[in-house]
Amino acid sequence: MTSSSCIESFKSFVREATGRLSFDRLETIFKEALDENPVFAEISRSGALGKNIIIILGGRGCGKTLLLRYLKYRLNKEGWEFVYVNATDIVRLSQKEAEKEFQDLINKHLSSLDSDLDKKIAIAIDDIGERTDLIKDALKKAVEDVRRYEGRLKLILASQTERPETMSLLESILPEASVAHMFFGESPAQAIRDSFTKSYIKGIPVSPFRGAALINLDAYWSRLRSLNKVEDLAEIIKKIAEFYVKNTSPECVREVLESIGKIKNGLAFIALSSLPKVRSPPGDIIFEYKGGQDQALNGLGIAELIYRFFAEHNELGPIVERAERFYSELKGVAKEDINVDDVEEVLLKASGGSKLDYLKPLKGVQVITLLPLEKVQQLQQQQTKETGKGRKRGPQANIIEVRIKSGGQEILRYIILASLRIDKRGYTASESVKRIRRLVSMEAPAEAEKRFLVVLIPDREHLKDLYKAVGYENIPRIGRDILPIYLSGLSVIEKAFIRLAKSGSSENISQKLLEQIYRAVIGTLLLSLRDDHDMPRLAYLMLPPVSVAR
Amino acid sequence: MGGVAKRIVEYIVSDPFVDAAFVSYLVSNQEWLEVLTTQAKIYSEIGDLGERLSTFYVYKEKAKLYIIDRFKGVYNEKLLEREIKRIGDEKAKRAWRAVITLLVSQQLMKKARTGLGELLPEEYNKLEYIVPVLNDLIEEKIKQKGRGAHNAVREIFKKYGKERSLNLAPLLWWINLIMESEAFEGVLKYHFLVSKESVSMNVVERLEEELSNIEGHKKDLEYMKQEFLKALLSRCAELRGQYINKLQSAILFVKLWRVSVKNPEAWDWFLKKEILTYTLPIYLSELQSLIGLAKIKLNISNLILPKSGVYSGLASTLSTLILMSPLFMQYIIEAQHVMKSGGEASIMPITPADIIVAIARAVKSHGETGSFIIDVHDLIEDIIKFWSEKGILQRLEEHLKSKITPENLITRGTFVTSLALIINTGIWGVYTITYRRPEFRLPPRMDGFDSVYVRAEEFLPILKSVWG
Repeated sequence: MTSSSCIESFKSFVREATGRLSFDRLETIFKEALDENPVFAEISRSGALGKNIIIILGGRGCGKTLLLRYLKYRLNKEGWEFVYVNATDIVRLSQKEAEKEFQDLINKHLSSLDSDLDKKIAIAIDDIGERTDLIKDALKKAVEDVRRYEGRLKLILASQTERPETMSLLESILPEASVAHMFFGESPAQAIRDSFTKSYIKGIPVSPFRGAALINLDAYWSRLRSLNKVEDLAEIIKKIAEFYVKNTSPECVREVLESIGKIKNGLAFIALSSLPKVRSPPGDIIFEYKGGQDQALNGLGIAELIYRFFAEHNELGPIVERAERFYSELKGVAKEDINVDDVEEVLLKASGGSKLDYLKPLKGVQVITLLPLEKVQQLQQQQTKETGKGRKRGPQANIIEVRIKSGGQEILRYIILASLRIDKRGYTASESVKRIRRLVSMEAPAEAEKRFLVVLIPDREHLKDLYKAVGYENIPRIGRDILPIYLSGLSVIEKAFIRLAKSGSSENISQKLLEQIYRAVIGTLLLSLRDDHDMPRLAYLMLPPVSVAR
Repeated sequence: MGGVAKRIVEYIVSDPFVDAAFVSYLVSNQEWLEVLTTQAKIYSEIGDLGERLSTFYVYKEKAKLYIIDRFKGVYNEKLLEREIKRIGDEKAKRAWRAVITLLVSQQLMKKARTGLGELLPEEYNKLEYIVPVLNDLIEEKIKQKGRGAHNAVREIFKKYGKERSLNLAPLLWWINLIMESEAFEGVLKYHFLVSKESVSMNVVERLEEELSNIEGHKKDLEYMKQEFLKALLSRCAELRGQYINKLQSAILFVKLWRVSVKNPEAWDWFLKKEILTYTLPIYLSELQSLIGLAKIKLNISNLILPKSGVYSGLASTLSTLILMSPLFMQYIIEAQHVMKSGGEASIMPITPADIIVAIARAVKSHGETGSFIIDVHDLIEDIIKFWSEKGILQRLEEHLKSKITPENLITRGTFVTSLALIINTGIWGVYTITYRRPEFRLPPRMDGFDSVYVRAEEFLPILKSVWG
């Protein structure tokens, strides 16, 4: 690709936009086509901007500050004075002093509301998670102020999902404000927590409450994190590129969009090979996070991908083009049948082939060798003076080892794969039922010891066979350490993808693309493989965790 | 020893320091503690104590070796090996249960976001605090062969001072209660009998009356009463002629680790004024009678047994709250002893179990289905009535040195915190509601209320599931 001056200026603009920019700088460089940004447009349509309290959440790089810039533009148009505060500007003093500083800041604006009854002020506090613990009482008071000046005072709070304090904000500080129910309804802590947890996995970026709205920017992208949505994602990437170019050099729109338009599906496919992350703890919140060399499917991740496509075209271009062709092949498949064994094999292959250092596939391993089961055996041998010869070693299984670092400690988790196989007549093979029963009876799954038995099941109809397999007394464990995962949620294109990923190494696919394919398995299929409550529990266990220390 | 073995009352089986060593060994291992912490969460959600876990197996095998090594200096090694082989599995199981249920109680208070610093000290939430304490106690005990258990406890108690000892007390009480649940069952039986004072005291009076017909007999009803009560305790604890101090060794931390008692080794106060182990059988027997159990179950193990069925998790939560309640009451009394110099008015301890009993009594009179509203004032009146019927009121007044009135309980009582513990830990069927005016505030959100709304068909099955 030859670089025209148009492309050059576009590249340098996108490059700057991918850096950490202040609110003022964002306001300076993004002035055009703000309503055309697809993310902003959706939030605007949702009605969230009319609420009195707006909470904006998302992982690093999700575009919170850019969204605040958009809110300023929109709210200014509606007669609101927009006040931007970065919480990190509140000096880390004692809690009492920090509370006072924040309170003074709010009071200053409240007195202007008292003196001018036509005035409307929106106070946006960015990176609130950085100071939440220091100003929690003042924050609760601010919520009461919003109630007092209802319709003339708006509180906008933006925080990074991965910050530990974000959960305090959602689970205790906001719900404990005396008027919380006026904004969040009854049981506010539960309501906010549930909305936040489900927003990503259901792809609902805006959760409206009585007088508040929670915007999870990552949930906008999670809806597109699917092989079924490659073309939609491609269109969004194009629109984002258009948004950038309109803010740089509008005369270049055609040139930039033409370059992207040819391979937009390939770009979308590459974007899908990024991995969402799991917030740890608590381990059931999935989000997008752009950190270090990691890719992410969020505002920053897409901007970087666009930049790399133009700046590193020689390296990325061929992969994108091949991905474009790969996607066409997938799309061309009209019907595909896969079974539980195919999925098991692809999960194993993806765990190794994705070159993610925290995942390790263990094929056909004796379950008894997993820790601390192994220790039990050793102790029993010592007691009975039994030698290793002729001992029964128990069943073998395909296992995925997950090594995660949390709070300076390494945590080892085992995902033991099992399946309910269906015979030609549609009945569950008794052998697979017996095998699951055996694994459960030898305590292969044990939540407290971080061993999970993932049972791949063709469809909901066969869940009853899992109940039979585990026995009545173990039924409460289903959904905890015994996880039924249905294949029935997979679309034709996802099944075709599994088929291709399974035989990937024999196809004419480069190593680099194969790695992207395996990452896409983890980044997309894990979210489509759901349990009996439509929760992506396998994703909770296998996605990389992110924990940010206080 | 000149062929004469010094008689010590504690023995391997009933030595609380052996119990303490089982617990401290379990809690000292960070990896095991993480497993236990997760299992505690599982227990409060589905009622499983995790006794089939590999970690439990590894722990109990290693713990037995550790105990033998630790105590071989004070007991005959061969005898120790034999006894630990015989009782080690059970001791390890109890230590496991003690730690899991302790962690559950911590998690419940955290979940409810209330109670710490009021019903229990802040230190209760930090299990790591207990390891050096248990080790100090064990060290003190084993440094000299034949050293009496009570001496070791008093020494460490003195060394720590009143305030630190007070803050550690509930942790030690909990461990002791679970580890020695059989010995405590006897104690609970005794208090259960005493609570029915008309049964026992009539006999005492009659006997003393009979004796007064004998020439030269000096009538002393109090003396007769004390000896009679002691005899009752010996019978209930199945001492069968052994010294009562054997029982003292088993219930060592609950009996001796008291700030409020000047001479805890004595029995008089325990027989007549005790609160912690007195209230527990009363709560248990009252609740069991209200749900229609044919026979009374006073075994603490029964209360914490793994639960099953739909209500398993909630029943585990409720049973933990019931078991914590006597600790709340005792801690509040003890704390006021340490802080009494301030001259502040007494805090009146109303526990979750008091509220659960009052609700269960109301359910009984309103019917097991449907719903009803009880004014908080009426609920408190019911609690006082219950206390008065069961002798709790009289004992509390003696400890608190101030009159227990509905007004005092409303202004200085722990009703709201205890109710928050029930509601915020997710027990179904109990809700707050404002009928007239929001007179009370439920932490942590401080929602206003003046009444409790009860849905009997939600609440009762959970209560019934506590005892399966």
